[in-house]
Amino acid sequence: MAELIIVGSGAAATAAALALVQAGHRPIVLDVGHVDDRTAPRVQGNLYRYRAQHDSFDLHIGADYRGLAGVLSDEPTVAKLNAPAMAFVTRDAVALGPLSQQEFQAIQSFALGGLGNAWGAGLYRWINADLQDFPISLAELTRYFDILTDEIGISGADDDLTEFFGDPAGLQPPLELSHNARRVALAYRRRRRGLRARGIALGRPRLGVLTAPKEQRPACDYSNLEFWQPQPFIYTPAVTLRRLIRAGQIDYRPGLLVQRWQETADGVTVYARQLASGADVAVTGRRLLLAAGAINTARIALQSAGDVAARLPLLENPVVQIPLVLPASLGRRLDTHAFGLVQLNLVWESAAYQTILQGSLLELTAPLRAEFFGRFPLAARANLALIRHLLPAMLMLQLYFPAWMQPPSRLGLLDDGRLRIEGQPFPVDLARLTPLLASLRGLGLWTHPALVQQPITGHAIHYAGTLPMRAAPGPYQCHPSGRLYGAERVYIADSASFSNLSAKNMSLGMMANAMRIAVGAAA
Amino acid sequence: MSNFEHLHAEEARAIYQMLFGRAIPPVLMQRFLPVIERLNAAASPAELTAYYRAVETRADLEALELAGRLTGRLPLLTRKVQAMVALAETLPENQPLYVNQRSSFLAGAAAMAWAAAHSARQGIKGLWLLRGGAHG
Repeated sequence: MAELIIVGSGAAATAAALALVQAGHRPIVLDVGHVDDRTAPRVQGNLYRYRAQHDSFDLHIGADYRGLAGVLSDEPTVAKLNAPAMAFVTRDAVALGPLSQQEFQAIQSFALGGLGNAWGAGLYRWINADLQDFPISLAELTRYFDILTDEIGISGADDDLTEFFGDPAGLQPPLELSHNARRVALAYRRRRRGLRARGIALGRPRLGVLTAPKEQRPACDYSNLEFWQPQPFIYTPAVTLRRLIRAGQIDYRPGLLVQRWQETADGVTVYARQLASGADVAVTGRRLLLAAGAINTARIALQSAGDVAARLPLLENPVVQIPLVLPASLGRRLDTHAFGLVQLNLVWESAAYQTILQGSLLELTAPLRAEFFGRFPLAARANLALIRHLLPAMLMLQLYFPAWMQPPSRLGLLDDGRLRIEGQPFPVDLARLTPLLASLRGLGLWTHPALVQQPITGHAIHYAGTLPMRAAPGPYQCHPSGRLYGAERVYIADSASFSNLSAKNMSLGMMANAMRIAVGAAA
Repeated sequence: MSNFEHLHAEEARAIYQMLFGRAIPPVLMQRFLPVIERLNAAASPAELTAYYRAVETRADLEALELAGRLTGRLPLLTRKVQAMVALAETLPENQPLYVNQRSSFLAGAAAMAWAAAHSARQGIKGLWLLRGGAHG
C-alpha cells in the first residue's frame, strides 16, 4: 500500500508533492493531466517583429477560431485562455467537470499544472492580515515560503510594498518596467509622502518570472508573447512537477479522473475513471491529499458522501477593471519591448472600504489590439485610430477586493452529476472609489468612473473556501491540520481549505499551506 | 444554408472596405466566411433580415454599427465588425494600422480629435438610418 496519494497537479498539488519528496516520501499523483501536444513551433523573438513578418492567424485565432470566442459567443471569456496554444489548459473542462452556473463564471483546468499554466504568476507571501479567520499562524508557513521562493525563482523588490508582501529575501531583481510604468513609478516617487498619507503604496510585483537564468530556464525576454504561448521564464507548477516525474520522485498517473474516496480500517481507497478506456480504477493508500482545485475538491467530497443536499460556500475575489490613460504618452509609439502582464502593484489601505485592497497595473502590450476594439464607444474607424494612438498611452488597473466583502457564492451537487454554482454579484459603489481615482490622477493616470468595468463573479479565478479550515470544524469543514471533518485519512491541501480570502493573490499562500498540510499528513 | 448566402462575399467586402478603405485580401475573405456562418446561425430571422437589408442597400455600415452598438440594435453587425478587426490584425501588411510605430504627440492629439468628430457625425447619421426601423 502506498503511503500518500495526491489528487490533482496544480499549484497546491505540486507544492504538496514537493514537500513530501523533500520529506523522503514518494507520493502517487492522480491526475487527468492534459498537456500541450500541439506540433506548431514556438514563436521566437518579439511578438511585434514576428507579426510584421508572418501571418499570425495560427498564433492568435487558430483553425477552430478559438481566438474569436469572445466575439462568436455570449459566454464571458478570458483572453489569455483563448489563445490557440493555451487550449490544453481548459481542454474538456466542460465535460470532465460539468457545471450549472448562475451569476458566476468558473474556469476549470484538467491540465498537468492546472490553471497555473495560464496564470499571471503573481506570487506573494502572506502577512498576518491575510490570515484573517484562519486557525493557523503565519509562523507555520514561513519556512515553506522560503522553500518556494528558492524553488520557483521569484522576482521583486524591497520597496514600499514589503510590509504587505513580506520578506524580500531570496528574490531575483525586479523586471524592467515599461515606458508607461516607469513614468508612473517616477510620479509615485515625487508624490510618495502624500499618497502614503492617503493609504496608497506603489511598488514592484512579486512574480514567478525569471530576471536571471535558473536551472536551464532563461530570463524574461520582454517579447510580449505572454498571452500566446507558454513562456519558459514564467514559472508554472508543471516545471516542478515535470522535474519530480523525471527524477522518479513521484509516481505520476495521468489519464485518471477521480470520482470519490472511501476510507477503510487501515487506509483510503480512491476511485477514478480511466479516461482512455472508461474503466474504473481503484488506488489505495494510507493518506489522501485532495488538491484538485477548490471547486473540484468540493465536487469529490460531495460525490464521496453522495450528498446532493449540501450547499457549500465558494469564495472569490471581487475585481474591478479601471482603464487608465497617461495623457503624457498620447501618440507615443507602442512599447514593444515590454513584459505584457503586471508592471506595478498598488495597495490601498482604504478608509472607504475599511480594508486593504490590492491592485495590479497591467501593460496592454500583449493582447491582440483588436481585443480593445469594442471598449471605446466610438465609430469603427475612430476605434481603430484609438487603438493605434491611445492604447500605447494606457494601462489597466485590476483592483481586487477581499472575499469577505460579499456573501460567499454557493456550490452544491445536482442529481445529474453537475455542480450547481450560484454566484453573488458584488455591486461596486463608485463613490467609494473616488479617493483612489483622485490619487491616480496625481500619478498622471486619468480615468472616468463610467469606464470602470466589473467582470462577472469568478473572473479573478481565485476560488477558495469550499471546505474551510476551522478551529472547531463541522461537516464539510476541515481541521487546522487540513484533515477533513469526519474523516481520518483525508486532507484538503488546496484553497478549498481557506478560511477566508484577502485581496492578495492567493497562489503562494496556497502552495505554502499545501506544503504544511502535506508534511503534517505524512507525519 | 441561409437565404442570404449569396451575400456573404459582398458583406465581407463591404465590412473590410468600411474599416480599411481598400479591397479585402483573398485569405481574409476565406477566413471570414466561417465567421459569417457561425454568427448567422445564432442570429434571429428578424436580425438577419435587417442586417442583410443594410448590406444589400449599401447603407453606411459604420454609421449603422455605431448607432446599433449605442442603442443595443444590430448586434450581428457589431460582432462581424469585431471579428473582421481581429482577423485583419493577423496579416503582416496591416500591422501599421494597429501599431503606432512613430511617436508624435500632435499626431495622437489630432487622431483623438478626428475620432471624436467622426464618431459624432457617424452616430447622428446612424441614428437617422435606424429611425424608421428599416435597418434594426
